[in-house]
Amino acid sequence: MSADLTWLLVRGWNSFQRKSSNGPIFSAEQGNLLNLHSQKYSGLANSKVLAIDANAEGAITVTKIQPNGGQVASARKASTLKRSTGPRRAAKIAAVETAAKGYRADLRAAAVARISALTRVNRRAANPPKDKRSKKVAAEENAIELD
Amino acid sequence: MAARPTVSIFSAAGESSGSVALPAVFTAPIRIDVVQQVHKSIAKNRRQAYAVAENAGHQTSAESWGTGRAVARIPRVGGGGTQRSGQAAFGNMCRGGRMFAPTKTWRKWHVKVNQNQRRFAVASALAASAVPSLVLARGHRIEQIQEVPLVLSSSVESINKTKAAVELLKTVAAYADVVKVSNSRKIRAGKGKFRNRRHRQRRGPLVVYGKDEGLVRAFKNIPGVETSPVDALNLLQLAPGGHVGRFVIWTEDAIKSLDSIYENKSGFTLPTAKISNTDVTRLINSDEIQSIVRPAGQPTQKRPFTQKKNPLRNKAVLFRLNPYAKTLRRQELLRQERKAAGKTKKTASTGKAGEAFLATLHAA
Repeated sequence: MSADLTWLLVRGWNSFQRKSSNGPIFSAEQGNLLNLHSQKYSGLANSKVLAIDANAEGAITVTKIQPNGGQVASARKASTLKRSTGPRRAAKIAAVETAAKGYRADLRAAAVARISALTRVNRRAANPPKDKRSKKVAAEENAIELD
Repeated sequence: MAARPTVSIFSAAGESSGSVALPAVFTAPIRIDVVQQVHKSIAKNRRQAYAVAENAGHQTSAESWGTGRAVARIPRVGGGGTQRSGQAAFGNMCRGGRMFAPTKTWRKWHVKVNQNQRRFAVASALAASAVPSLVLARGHRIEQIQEVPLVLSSSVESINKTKAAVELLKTVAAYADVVKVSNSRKIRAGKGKFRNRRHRQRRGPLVVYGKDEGLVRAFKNIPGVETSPVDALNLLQLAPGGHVGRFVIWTEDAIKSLDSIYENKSGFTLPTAKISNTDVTRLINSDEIQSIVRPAGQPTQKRPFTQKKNPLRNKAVLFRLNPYAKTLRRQELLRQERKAAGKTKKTASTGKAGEAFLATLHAA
């Protein structure tokens, strides 16, 4: 079944939709790079899907999903980035997997944005930014004690 | 149409052991509007009748006081000595009165749905259950399973232990859907709790079998898993909530008998899709379309008409409309030029009429 028809069937209702009283409709399925309920970014209604996810430990996985007939597990090809992969290399991987390989050039910007957001999270988790405010508060408290 | 696709058959050990041609019913068009409509109607057939008590609001001997008492003619409770006496009764606007149009147990609870519409809906729901995207969109956790529709060898029909059934679901990676059901089990909100509907939970896989040799009882106690014989498929199970794409696990026996089951339904031919190719990009790029479309024009379209110009302001348009205006204008300019140069002779006005004029005037 074509991706266009699939979109017409899942557009009205699907279990991944996240609606709120106002604002955009979000979508939680795997392979939706913006988590936005739209045909372009849908992880269900596209013949080629690129999923970029991170697990609880922060390991980033890039999965290519190419539905082929009834294949499910074998339609997914996942590769996990090494822990040593830096943000520049991660962004390059996202760009190569989407645009350079002629897979889904239209998703390049979204893929790079998502993978760099995930690497940024990892970097912050490993080396949390110093909280300037708490430092200042501590300094003030110390000053009071000196008085 | 291309050759009918095939589906792999998996043994109880989870290995591929042959294949079957996909039954024709899986190529039926997926009409979610039909499925929703039919589901809405047949879901009503399991309702339990309810109504208010037959005598509710009529347990007084109230009678109208008639006219002349300066009160409304509504029936009033007779007697004295209590608050109730003299109060209006019976009417739907009265406290303690009956409701408007009291509900009756003999309401029309069931909705008739034409047989072929029901068959159409079931065919649609079956076709949807063979599309991975739609099964995922319904919320089933099928990412790890090999293939949709998932067909297992007929030997699973003789499984008669739940432990073995669970083991089977784990080997074909369908157990994630059962885990989802287990985790979703919540106590129902409202009074359904007291009425044998204490918990609510998601739906898991539906196991469709040809012949029950212990399979039904083996699968009965696994959360969310339902079983159905292949010759009695039910839309309420194939599209719960009216949403197509139930995760269906078939036995080989069941899926092989689908074709003959649909051939034997008298008066019913399987619906066919209105168009064979639903891929819009391919349609646009097809030779048939590309050979008749005009070549692409300019990216920005020209304005179909020029902007209207005001001839009183725009001289070019004025002269096009009235060629003499050009002469007038030129003369006017020349006159102004002469005036500015002081070349025009000024005729001083004396304030008196001329002699010739007066002679003519007085001659009369």
